[in-house]
Amino acid sequence: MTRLARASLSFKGAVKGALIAVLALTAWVLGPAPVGAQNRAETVRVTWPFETSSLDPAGAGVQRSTWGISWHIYDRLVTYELAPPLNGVQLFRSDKPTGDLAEKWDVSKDGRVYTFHLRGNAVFQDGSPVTAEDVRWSLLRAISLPTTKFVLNVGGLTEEAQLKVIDDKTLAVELREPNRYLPLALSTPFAPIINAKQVKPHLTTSDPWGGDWLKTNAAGSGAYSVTTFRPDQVALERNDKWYGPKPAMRWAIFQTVPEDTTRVAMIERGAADIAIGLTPNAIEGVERRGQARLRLIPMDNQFEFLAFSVQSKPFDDVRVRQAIAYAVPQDEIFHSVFMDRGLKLFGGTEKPAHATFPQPQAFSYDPGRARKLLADAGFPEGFETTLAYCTCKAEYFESLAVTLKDYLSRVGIQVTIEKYPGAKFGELQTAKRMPLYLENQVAWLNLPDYWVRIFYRGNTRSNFSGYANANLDPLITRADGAKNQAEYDAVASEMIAIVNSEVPLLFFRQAALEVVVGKDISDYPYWFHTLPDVRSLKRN
Amino acid sequence: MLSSFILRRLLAAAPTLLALVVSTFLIIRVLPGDPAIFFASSPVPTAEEITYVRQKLGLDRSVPEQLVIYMSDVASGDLGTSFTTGRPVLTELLERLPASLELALVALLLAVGVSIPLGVTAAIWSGSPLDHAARAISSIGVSMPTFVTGLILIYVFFLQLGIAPEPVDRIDIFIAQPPRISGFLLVDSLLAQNWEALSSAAQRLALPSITMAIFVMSPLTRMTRSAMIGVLNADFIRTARAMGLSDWTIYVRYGLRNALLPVLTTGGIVFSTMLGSNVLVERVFGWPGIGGFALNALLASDYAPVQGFVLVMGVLLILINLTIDISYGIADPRARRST
Repeated sequence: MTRLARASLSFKGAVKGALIAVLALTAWVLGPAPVGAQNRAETVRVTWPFETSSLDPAGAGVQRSTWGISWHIYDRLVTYELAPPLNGVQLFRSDKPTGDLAEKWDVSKDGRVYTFHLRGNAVFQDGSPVTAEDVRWSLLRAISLPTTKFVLNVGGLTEEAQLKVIDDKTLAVELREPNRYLPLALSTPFAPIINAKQVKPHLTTSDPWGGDWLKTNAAGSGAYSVTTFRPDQVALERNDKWYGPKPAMRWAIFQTVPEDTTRVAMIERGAADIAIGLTPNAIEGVERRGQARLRLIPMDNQFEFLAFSVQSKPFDDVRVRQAIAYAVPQDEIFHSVFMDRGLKLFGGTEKPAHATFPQPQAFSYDPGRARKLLADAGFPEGFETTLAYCTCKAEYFESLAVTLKDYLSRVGIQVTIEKYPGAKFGELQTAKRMPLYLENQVAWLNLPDYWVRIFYRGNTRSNFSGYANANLDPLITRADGAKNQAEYDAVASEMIAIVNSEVPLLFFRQAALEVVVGKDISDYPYWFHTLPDVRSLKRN
Repeated sequence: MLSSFILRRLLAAAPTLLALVVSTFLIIRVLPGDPAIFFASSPVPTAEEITYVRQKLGLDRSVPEQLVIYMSDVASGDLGTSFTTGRPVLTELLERLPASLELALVALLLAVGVSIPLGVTAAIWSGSPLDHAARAISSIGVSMPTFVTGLILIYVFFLQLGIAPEPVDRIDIFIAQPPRISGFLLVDSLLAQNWEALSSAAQRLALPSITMAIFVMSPLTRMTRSAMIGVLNADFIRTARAMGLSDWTIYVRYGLRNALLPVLTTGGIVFSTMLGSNVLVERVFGWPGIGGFALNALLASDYAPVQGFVLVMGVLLILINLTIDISYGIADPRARRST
């Protein structure tokens, strides 16, 4: 045998030996996963795309993750009842606010004084009792910081003098005028009840509200306490001193997982229990594969719409807006773009059927009528415009934009589609520099006059169309002063009729929140902030 | 002398670093979008809140003023604060750097461990089907973007076969982490004799490092192969064969050792590339390294981490190149005389 042949053999032998060694190593590495100390059955793992930058919901620039965590580590005075489970989901009842940290509250005859009675057995996680002074300080903090004061101002709470400690367990809030928003504002993550006694040693002149300390420390009374706080992983443990029904899950982990397909894969593999922030792409096939449950939760405090920039031509003319409303095939869009998910916001009547908002608008698909309206408004040949949306919301808006472009061209309106990343979109939206754009929005306070106030009035970013109508202001005043539900509903219906026919915002639907849940997880609660709440979850 | 050589090289690198920092700073600020509006994320952002956030971000001053403030901060070791994670950028980068380095080193070892034998065999039997196969396989690896390879591996090994752990983090969440000594989990678990942690860390390293190794196999294999072919044609190899020396001596002691020099340079370049390209791999695998951190920050218009990341990468690359030059000098006596 030649030398080279022998060398090849021995070389091949060496290669074979190396391959076997590598395979053995691989087998060891990919061996059975080791079992950990924490009990898998008593731990619930939530996966989301956010990092958690702070434990303080009043921090500047916090993300939704902070509100989600604070929901568990802090309590609020007021919450809502949850409806009985339907298809594995419990929806919050926006019409049924109920006591949380405040066992109950009384309203004075003139509707201006709300007296909150705190639960006798409520204690903070450090063991000290929850007192009215803690509540007073917490609310004072909330109205002093720019990030949280708006919602409380809407509730009528603006000044320190309005907060009165009656006794250790009783706090009164004195409003200038009756305001039905106060309890609702107090149910939001912007009004957590903080242990003032624990925070006060950490206040400084440059940081009078303890923002630096509360960013990394929790001083709450909530159902869970923080065991580890990393931006990509927050671990909570059940607080056995909590007054509410004892949560079944002893530990809760909120894990940052940037890719949505990975989040879903983890649920299907049993490595996690809840996945949120999902796109239609990621949830495709979940039901078919049957290894996890897909929950499509209709959000009745959300809406998706086309916003017109009413301060610039041609959309300052209501006829042009209505023309576009008639040019849009809503049924077709609901079916092929939104895949029949969510609740329709079209096909309604001119006079609203209910005094709730958003109400379905009364336009139908009628291109002939659209052309006529355009001609009346002086655009018989149509015109050119741009339609924008945020790339952060591209999952549905991309095909919606293409569909709209197609149908609007049939009535002579030539549309150019523009996509912007989040920060740029926000800038243009605030400066009102987009003639037409697609957007969706969640409203935390679900009363019709709140929607009208925020989305159809004023100079904030949330007045998406830059709409102003002098007729709305007296109606809002009358709504404030409404003495009973019937009177309120009548005024609300009037407001709804105006904004729906004027259509500065053309509605499409109320979206369905896409959540993937492990098969053994019990009913899933849906709150107005759309973030997970693990306090009531059980494993079947 | 070696020390003066190092010193001269580091001084020469200083202007590069300065230019890097300033240009990153300016480029980021030219990007469209107002971070203050983006971060004022409450349901109804008022003008007051936006102003408050802008002031907290330090963006209410003019750009030259911001640059001066930033440069003086960097000189004193303050790289700013990340808005997405709420912690100082320097803390984040130092905490996350070992994760990225561990991943890149393991990937490099894997890549080298496969590429060099592959390149050597391709060179010895050059022109044979084995040679063509080796080149084809490595080309496929480099033609696919790393995140595509990564997602495919996750799909096959995690979702379908279930043999890989979930692609999140460096260690199973239910296992106690070993105390942090080097920051490398493999090393720290060994030192703490925590076999559970070692096994879990190795399992989680497997897929991402394979993903990165696949990507860099091509240049390493080809470079080894062509260097080997060049060396095997040299006179001294023919002499060694004529003298009847063993094949191991010919091919490894004389051949490979000489062929390794260009491979070393390629290895350094490849390592630098990996540190940069691991941005997407880290994101796909939820790896808590500096690349994923910078990418998330960039997507969220969070400036400070991106600037810090570029600065750290610049420093790392300069150090890597310096190390290669020094080891070149050690490995090849001819290089020493020319410095």
